[in-house]
Amino acid sequence: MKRILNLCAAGALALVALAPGSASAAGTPGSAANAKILNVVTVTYYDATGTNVHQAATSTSVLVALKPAPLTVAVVNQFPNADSGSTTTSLIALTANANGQDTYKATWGSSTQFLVTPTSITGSILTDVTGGSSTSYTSGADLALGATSIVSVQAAAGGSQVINIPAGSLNGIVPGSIVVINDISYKVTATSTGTQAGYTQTGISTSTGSATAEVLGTITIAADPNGSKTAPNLSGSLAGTIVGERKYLQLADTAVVSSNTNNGVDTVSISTDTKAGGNATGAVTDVATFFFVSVSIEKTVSNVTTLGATGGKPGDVLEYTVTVRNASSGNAGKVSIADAVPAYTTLVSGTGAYGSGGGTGSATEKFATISDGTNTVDITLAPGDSESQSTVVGYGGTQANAIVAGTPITFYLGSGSTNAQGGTVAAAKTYTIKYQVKIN
Amino acid sequence: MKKTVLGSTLLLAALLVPVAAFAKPQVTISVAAEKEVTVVNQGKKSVKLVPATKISPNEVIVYTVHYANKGDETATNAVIEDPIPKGTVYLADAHVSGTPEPEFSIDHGKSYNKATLLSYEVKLPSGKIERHQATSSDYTNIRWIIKEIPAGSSGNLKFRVKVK
Repeated sequence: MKRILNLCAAGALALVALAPGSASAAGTPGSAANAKILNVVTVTYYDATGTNVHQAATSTSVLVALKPAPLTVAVVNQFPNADSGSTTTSLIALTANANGQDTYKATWGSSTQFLVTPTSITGSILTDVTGGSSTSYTSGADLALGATSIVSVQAAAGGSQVINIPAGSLNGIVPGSIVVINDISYKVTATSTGTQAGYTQTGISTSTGSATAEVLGTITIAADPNGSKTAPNLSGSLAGTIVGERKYLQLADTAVVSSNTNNGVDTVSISTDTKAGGNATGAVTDVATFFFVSVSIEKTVSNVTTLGATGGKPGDVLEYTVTVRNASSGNAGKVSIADAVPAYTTLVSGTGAYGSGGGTGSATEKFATISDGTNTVDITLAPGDSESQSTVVGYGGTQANAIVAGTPITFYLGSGSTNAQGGTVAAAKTYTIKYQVKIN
Repeated sequence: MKKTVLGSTLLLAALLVPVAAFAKPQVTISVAAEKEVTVVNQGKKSVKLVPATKISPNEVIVYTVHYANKGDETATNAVIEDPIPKGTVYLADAHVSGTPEPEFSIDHGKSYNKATLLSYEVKLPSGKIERHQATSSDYTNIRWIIKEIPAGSSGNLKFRVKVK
């Protein structure tokens, strides 16, 4: 009995010495999807005399399955307020929390107020805020996000850090990916897939095999310049911590305001789920506000020959003042004013400032001024001959440079206006046009 | 002791081929990985084992080690040794079956003991050394020692691990 026990101990020790396969315990730590769980079992035994030792070993392996999890959805940049008819763009970060790559879907819906419906919302998926790839995305389409989990971390050095992951578990993470670890985003600069552990014997075995040791995969991370901007400095036991890929959903919303007294509002709600379902996130709302545009126009007249007179007699000069006011918070675009020389009058034009008279109706004669409240420009009968403007205030002119009653007059107002098209009258801006006529 | 180790190593090398001509034990070994699936049949729940090829974190793998002596002589002092697979934690529970009682290691197979006798030392900040009973999650290896496997006999050894 004593002898048997001694041999027993010898057998156990001999096992360590003889079986590198079982001693190196091939396998994979962590719970990332596609990690290989390798079990190697060895039997060591003696014959009846207790002298000849034999050994057999075998193995079985199981891969870790994907464990789906809801995405984390966060609005990074809300829709900036926009003018009616223009496009505003927001950015939403979608972050994976699973242990492996999965296919998700992001869906969005609109709830509008004071907008012409339907509004136009187009989506794109960006792999980074800037510098990544951008692909068109429609609501509910497939969206793949990678993920894995940590085995251990190497010491951070020179602004980057290497994370060890189970071999074969990169799970869609590639250089350039943005990944999130414990709520902090990093940029992936390099990856390696590693080598999975193996053992040559499987099934029913009568001999030992040879083992392949696992070479862990790695993900090298650096600060995410468009996100957390934090240099990686992970430490401690992070085994099993999820490394989830982040992609950005960019939504471009274009809408026209249907009211001239209220801003238009598009409340966009975004929700996500795994493609297979069952991992829905609560809807995140992102509100786009479009400014209503309300431009008022007022025309007044005064008799400059007989000040204070309510009427006029032939030969009197009347001055018209046209006031264009943008009282809304949105910018009005392509603003042009159509006017005409009143009946029984002749437009006053000439070489001097407006009202100098003596004009005969040639292109370069001045007849009006336009002021934006800061700058004033003289306007000639031909739109192209108006005063040069370092700050563009406006242009104008008459049809065929005529000055007789009934001649149409056009003014093009605002920044960006030309001698053929109106420009932008910005929110809260007031423009004043002045011209004179002489009663025939 | 060291001499004994070397001796058996040399013996193995020297005798593996010549011994083939004589009566000898031949122990085969296999291992199966299965997972438990709860089946509801006519309102009755039962747990069924199905082969595991993919398994989710926190799920349980049931390993069944099957050994059989296909030789014509009794195998003696058989030691079946199995490192707890990386990425899993040993589960101590009543599902462990088969005789004999397994022994465990918490130092990657350097030493083994019965579950109730496994302990390790922790040095407290005060410098005092405290002895802790090892728990199943500390186990790194499991082994069974079977004194005799008669020719033609076989057996199963089961243990369960939880995927991290």
